[in-house]
Amino acid sequence: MIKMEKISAGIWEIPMGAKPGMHVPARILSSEDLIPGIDDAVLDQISNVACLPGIQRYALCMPDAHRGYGFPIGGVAAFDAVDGVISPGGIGFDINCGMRLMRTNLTLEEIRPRLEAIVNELFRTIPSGVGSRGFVTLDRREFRAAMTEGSAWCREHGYAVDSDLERTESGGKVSGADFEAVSDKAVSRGISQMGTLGSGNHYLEIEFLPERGLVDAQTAKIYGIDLPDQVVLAIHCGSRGFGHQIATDYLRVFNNRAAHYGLKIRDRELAAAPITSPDGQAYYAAMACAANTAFANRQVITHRVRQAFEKIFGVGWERLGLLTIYDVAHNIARFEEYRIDGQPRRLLVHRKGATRSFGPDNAEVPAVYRAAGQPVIVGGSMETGSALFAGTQQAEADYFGSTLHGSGRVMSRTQALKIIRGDQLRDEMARKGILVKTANLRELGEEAGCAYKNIDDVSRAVNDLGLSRLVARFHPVACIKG
Amino acid sequence: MRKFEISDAHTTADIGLAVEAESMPELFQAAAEGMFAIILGTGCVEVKTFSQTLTLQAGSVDQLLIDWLSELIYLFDAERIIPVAYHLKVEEGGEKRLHGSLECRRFDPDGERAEHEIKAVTYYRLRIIWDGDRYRCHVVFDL
Repeated sequence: MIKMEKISAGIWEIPMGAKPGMHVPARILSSEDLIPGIDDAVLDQISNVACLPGIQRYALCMPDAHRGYGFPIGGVAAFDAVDGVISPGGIGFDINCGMRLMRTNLTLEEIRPRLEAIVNELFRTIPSGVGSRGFVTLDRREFRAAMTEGSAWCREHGYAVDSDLERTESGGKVSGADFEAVSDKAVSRGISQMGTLGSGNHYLEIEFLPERGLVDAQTAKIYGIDLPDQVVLAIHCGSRGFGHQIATDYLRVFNNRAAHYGLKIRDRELAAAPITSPDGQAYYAAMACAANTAFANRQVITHRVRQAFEKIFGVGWERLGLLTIYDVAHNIARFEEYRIDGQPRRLLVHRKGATRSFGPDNAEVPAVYRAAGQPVIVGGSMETGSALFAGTQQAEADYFGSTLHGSGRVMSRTQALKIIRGDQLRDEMARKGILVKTANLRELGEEAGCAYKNIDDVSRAVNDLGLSRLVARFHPVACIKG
Repeated sequence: MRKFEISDAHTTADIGLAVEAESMPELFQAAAEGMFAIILGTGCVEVKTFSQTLTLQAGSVDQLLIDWLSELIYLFDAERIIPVAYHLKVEEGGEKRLHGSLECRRFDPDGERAEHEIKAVTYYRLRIIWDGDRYRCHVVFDL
């Protein structure tokens, strides 16, 4: 059993000697309330990450950490761009799974009378559930353009406006994408899924800002949250089967080539390759394709959301103020620069179930938000709604510019179903004023709020550690689930 | 004889599958049947079938099982193909090979519901063992 020791408020450490081969300590960022919920598998996984070549400073666990494959979910690790490795297990099967938050000019009172109509329209026009196909018809040439250009491809085809790109991580395009690194199977899985939500914990939610939800009015205003009871929309999905296949393909390659690269495999889900190797370069190029496809997917869904609101409210989306607040990836690896031992170093930061948290004045933060820091969008369970944070300079200085991504699951699917069935949950949520529309009533029960950590506990830990600053908490009024 | 049992996985978000069979081809078939029970739930759909053949090759039977289930996930996701009958041959000497002749049907998203979308088969603690009586393994799927 791996032991950790508390080193300061909110920070626990697994020292380098805890497991043979650790190059750096592992740090678990948490709170007194949350730390008992961190299980041994998380400690084992994060200490395995600390053994990977080229890792810098610490292997990190965010406060929403729970066990995953290879890396824990909520795991962050930065590797030297020259001497380090890249690992699909540090990114996840759902490459660039992420969150988008959109604002509106509507209040809860204004949307209530048309809520059922808008939910039905969103459910009809944004495909969700297993086996669903998107409304965007692409041939292979166009799909290649989308995976290379990301959100810019959407703008070219009328699915995005300039401000969408401005308010998406890296403009909705990860450079280095090369479709030659992507298998035919990945293309075949992904080509018909553009504009689909998927299933599992992916969703589209209509939420509002309750009075008690506003924490930092000044920053909220900069982000476009400026009305009492203001309605917002949260979109949670990723690169769909395209990314899943790329991860499957490269995990196989990396496991087969481990001996060639002289890498010891502690966990086949943590297979890795040197960043500068042909295999490492190819995976990065394919991962960038999946990341761009995911940005495009959330953008195309945004376009459908605008069309649905226009139809139900009978006015243009611009008048409804349906603007992207921000779009962030939470399963991705990004090249970023940090100071290590006082020297600037280019690192490949893996964030698996973790979000960028860039503070004020960072050039990567859109100019309109630069004074406040980057918006960080965090999904809770479908019963608790989302949270909006601001990135911090402290996160950049101490934690490779990273923070949490969600509230973190604590209960298995079968356990959740023993507590509440899908139809019971739907009815219970309706009594609370939350309308649910789902392609799969059984899976709805598996995603019940009781299956997740309390987002307020996690938010408090994040705030206290300075990983990011809580700006606002939103409450759900409708949820569309795959 | 072959059988499978769906169980909680090591992660709270996912699903596991315990599989056992008297022969290696039966183990591969049971794993596929169990995986489609996770995706589709129980129930029987009467539809036309068609034949599909495939051949896979891997350095170990563990990898061959992952490749087999990954291939079926791909066929379901990309082409909506669901096997309903299996004729499998597994060669275990040297390079491991699977030759499959499958009777398949197509999933109809307008006429039937699926319960879970499987993103991928994981390597998590996957190991096929022979306990002197039968083959056993536990497969975990990322949902």
